[in-house]
Amino acid sequence: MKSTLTDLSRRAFVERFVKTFLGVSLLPGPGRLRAAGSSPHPRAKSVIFLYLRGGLSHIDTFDPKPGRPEMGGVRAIGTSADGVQVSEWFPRMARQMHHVSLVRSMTSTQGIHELGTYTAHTSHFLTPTIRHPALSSWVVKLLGSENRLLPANVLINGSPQHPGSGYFPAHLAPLPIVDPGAGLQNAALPRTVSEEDFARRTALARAIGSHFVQQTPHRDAAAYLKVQQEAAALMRSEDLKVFDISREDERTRDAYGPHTFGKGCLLARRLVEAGVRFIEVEDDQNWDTHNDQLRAMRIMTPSADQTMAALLEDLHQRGLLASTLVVMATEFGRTPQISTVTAGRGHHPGVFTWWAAGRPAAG
Amino acid sequence: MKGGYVHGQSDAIGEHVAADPVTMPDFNATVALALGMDVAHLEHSPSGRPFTVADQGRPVTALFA
Repeated sequence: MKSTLTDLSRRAFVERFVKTFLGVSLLPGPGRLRAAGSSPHPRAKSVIFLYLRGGLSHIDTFDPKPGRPEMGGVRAIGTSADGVQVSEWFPRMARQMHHVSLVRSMTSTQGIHELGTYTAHTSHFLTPTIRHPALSSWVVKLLGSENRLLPANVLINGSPQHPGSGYFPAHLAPLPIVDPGAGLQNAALPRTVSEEDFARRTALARAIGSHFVQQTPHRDAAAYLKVQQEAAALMRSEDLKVFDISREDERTRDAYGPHTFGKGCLLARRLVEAGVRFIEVEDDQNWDTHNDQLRAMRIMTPSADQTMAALLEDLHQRGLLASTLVVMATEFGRTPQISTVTAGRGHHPGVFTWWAAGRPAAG
Repeated sequence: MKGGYVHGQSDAIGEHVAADPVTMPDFNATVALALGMDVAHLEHSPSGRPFTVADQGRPVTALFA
């Protein structure tokens, strides 16, 4: 991770801190800063932001070009939406397309992974002078959370390139979940620490911390103290169970799949049910298919197709798709031409596909 | 969001945008608006620079059902 010292140390500190103390986000209250009349549309309560890192080929997935030589022999198939085709690599997503709005005209100027990923998350170009907040940090800053105890912003299997809370205070950074199957780590007291000990220690930490905060006119000093207090509250909460996907029945777990992306999306659905505002799930596969496009897609698409389709179906069955927005994003598309040297596709920010699904309910 | 909907299109081989280009800021602004956020709301960086969510991207309201 190459970065400026300030960014590096802040990010490293936040990650370590969060891992140790759970990193419960500060919740800025229920105040919604929605200007009157600014949005005539029904509102979504939560976002699940699926990020397929590496640059997902658009013509091999959701923008196929039937019969064109650029497809390399891959077929397009019909879907549950009239007149909408996807590639044959996505048979399960094909049955969900009646829920999906495809945007096949995404375009960017950022053809390098780090830059594209940064812009996808922050809407800004990466520059050396400032670190911008991710969309998720904006969302929790302006909207707060539906759940007082749980973090409002969660990043599952996130990459180190995630911009976090940028110039916003550290408490708006996402809580990182490294292994969605393992849930929230370090959430229980060690056996050698009694409840009494813990209460005494947190009181002591608060006393010391309060003095430091008063003496330190930096917003993050107060933010960290508050994070610690919220974390301690969460440790005693029933809400911790929400992080445990083993509580789901086997059929549901099988539907999402045994891989990291599947577990991550299942956890995301549980977090949505608990009122968490913004959950990003990154696929742990690398879609940077420079070599042997067909083979790479054959290996990677089944799990992605399974998981994304299962997520939409599960949300729909539970009535959650009416209040949840599911987004699929990636940093760029890939060249229509398959390389005659590597049989793969290069980076292609000129056009690519993102999609959104979910129908916010009226009211 | 509309279901079974396609917004914009690429050209015959998927090389260029053929209709209705959408940038990442536009898409992110769409997400923000779908959540009921005020996309014109100003926040300031520690050095005082003003910013809006999604850097003034234009929400793709055609996606809304």
